Amino acid sequence: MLPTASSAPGQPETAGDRDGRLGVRLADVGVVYDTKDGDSVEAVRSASGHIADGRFVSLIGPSGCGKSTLLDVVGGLLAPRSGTVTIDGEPVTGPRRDTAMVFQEDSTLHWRTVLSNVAFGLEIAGVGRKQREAAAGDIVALVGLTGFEHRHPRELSGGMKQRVAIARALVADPRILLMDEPFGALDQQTRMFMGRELLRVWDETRKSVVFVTHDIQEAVYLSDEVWVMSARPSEFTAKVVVDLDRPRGPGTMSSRRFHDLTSQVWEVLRVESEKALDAQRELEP
Amino acid sequence: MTTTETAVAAADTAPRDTRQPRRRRPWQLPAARLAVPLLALLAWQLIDPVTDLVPAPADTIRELYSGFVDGWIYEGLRATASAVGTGFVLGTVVAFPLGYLMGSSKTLTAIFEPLVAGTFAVPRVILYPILLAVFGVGLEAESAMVAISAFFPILMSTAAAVRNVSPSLLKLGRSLSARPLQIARKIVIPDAAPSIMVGIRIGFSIAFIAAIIAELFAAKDGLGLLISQSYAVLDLPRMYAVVLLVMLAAFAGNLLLWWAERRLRKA
Amino acid sequence: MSGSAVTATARAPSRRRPPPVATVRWGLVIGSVLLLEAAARIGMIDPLIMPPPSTMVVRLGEIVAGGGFLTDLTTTAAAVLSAFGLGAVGGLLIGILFWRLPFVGATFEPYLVSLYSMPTLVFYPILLALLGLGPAPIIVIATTMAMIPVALNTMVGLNSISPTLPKLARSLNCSRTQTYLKVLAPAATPLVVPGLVLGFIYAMIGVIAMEFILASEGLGFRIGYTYRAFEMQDMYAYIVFVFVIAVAANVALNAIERRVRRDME
Repeated sequence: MLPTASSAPGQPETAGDRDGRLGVRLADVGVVYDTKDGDSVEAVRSASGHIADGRFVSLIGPSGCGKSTLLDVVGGLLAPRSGTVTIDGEPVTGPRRDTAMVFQEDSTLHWRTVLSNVAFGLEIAGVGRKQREAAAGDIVALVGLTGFEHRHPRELSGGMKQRVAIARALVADPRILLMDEPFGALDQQTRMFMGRELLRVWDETRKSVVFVTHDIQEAVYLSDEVWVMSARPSEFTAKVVVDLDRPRGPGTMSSRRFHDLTSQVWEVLRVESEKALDAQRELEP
Repeated sequence: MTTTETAVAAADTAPRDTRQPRRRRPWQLPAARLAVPLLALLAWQLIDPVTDLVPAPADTIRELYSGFVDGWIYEGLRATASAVGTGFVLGTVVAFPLGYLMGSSKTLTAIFEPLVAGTFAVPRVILYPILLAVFGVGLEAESAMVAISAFFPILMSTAAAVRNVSPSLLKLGRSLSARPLQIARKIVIPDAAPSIMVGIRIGFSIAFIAAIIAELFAAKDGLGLLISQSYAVLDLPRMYAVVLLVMLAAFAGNLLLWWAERRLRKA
Repeated sequence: MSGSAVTATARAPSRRRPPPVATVRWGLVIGSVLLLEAAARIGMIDPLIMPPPSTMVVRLGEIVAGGGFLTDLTTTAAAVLSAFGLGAVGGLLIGILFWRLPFVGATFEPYLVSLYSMPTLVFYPILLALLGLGPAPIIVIATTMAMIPVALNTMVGLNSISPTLPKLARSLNCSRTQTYLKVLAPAATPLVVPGLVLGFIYAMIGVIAMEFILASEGLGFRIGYTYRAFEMQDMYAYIVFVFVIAVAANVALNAIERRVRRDME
């Protein structure tokens, strides 16, 4: 599963999937959305790429570049204006059972216990109580919430609420996790800790992950590949393959290669962020 | 919600003062709060010898007690309770689904909200003569008055509560392919429940007040009628006894709904 | 592939024009009035229960032109303005007091909030006995109703001022008066003004409702009086008038409130 040591942008194949049919494939995806004032905004112009089965890919870009919008498209919440998204060769036409999303904002149901929050997706899918609670119990243990099953979200810290959200996403055993800045609202320490926890869970489950973030270190630390998006209307300007050894740990971040990779991402991102700032300045004379 | 109603809601749930007040022992505030009605009672007791217009608290309470023992109060109490009960349930049952519909559609909100908000300042009691003309004096007219009074606050707060359901929860529902009924039952209603309860509580207060006004104006029975009748014959202890009962009933109803609201907020 | 294309067109709100909401709204209102008119004209509604709306308006014109109307209007207006004036001053003072003395505020606040929901008007016979039949009992009750929202909103408005602002004022060596007038008052205004608007509306509702049950003059009284005298056309004319006045007052007050909030926030 470890990526081959290559920093050239490309799409490494995974062992059992030589033709690259499995996984998420974006082909010239363009997204336009309408604002409240009736204007249309072109969020994404043309995004293409392939997230091979079991890969951890981060999307990073200047703020407002449409990375969350693109994630909504993959999750089937938003239809693209042009191009297609396919999962294992099938076009995405709506939310699917084999994808699950984690949002930045707190999306725990505050009137339910942790266990019942985690089981929520199964409940919606019509799974019986016994079965869904058993499944939820296993996942609660996996994400390190044992002992909190019967607590309510208001008794939990922000980091723990996000664990609940991750557990809820994992419970139906999806193949693809779509994470929209899941740690964006957390403080720096919690964030790093949650990143490590996420890798531990990922190591055990080996889902494909699409992870939206604006934190370069987080992206490099977690991912197999970091895809950098341009300012709006966005495209992928660079795909950096992260060839750091797994499992990653505290040592990873102090390694020379880690610094090289983060600066490499930053170089691309800096240019794009400046473009985005310039665009904002033009709007307000 | 109109801005004015939002202000009421804000007053209800606004965070406490952030400044650090002088340190007080934890029992002092409840004690001070308890002292307020006791002081009012004391003031009442002190006024009694000064004027004939105010009977002593003890006499009033004795009269109220006799109302229950001798039974002169039951007819009025039953009439008011059934008018308030029927009308309030009717108003809620109509207002809730309409409010839900309004809150879930931007178009419906845009069409109807200005109309509903625009009539916020119209005293509902001016409609009572119309209801009397339609139904005649009696339970129907009074229940209809109560229903109309309860309808608007419940409609507005339900619409606002549904509109304010967190977008991330709705997104979650969509990402799980939840059906509309599931989204309503498992996400929107539980999330909106505390705010809807605020509207139900306000609706109850207004409806109760409307019932009493209606009874003071024209009714066959009811606590309001008892007040105006005992005033007419200057039976002051009885009048005060009924006034006391009305206040206690309103207070009890509010307390109950307020407690339900707190439970929902915590759950 | 085609699936995603279909949803794309289905969701794309591209050139669809926004629905003419205002047209629909006023169409509904005018339609309902016309429907009532037609129903009353063809006898579906008993004229003893409700005359056609056009008759109400014509009758209202006659009433306004005739004598007596002005007396009722000025009586009601004077009572509303007095109740609002007294309620506003009292409410502001109480609000400031409760803010300066948080313990007193915390003690009385629950009672103030529950007064909101209490039928305080049942005290009217007592006031009647103490103050006599006339505008005084009505004004007292309406003042109480007007005062509560002003007091609560003033207190909440002052309490919600960020603690940074007084700190800022101190750091700039503002005098006490400057701190109050230039920092605290403007900062609290966005919440105080809605309180005043509510206070006015409650004064209006309170006066008309009380007139309805106990006055011998005023618009509220006239609605009750015409009902008892079986003058249905007059009754509806007065109801229409009060309805329109109340809606107009509400719209005007909300416009003022929006303006102030926009300027202050």
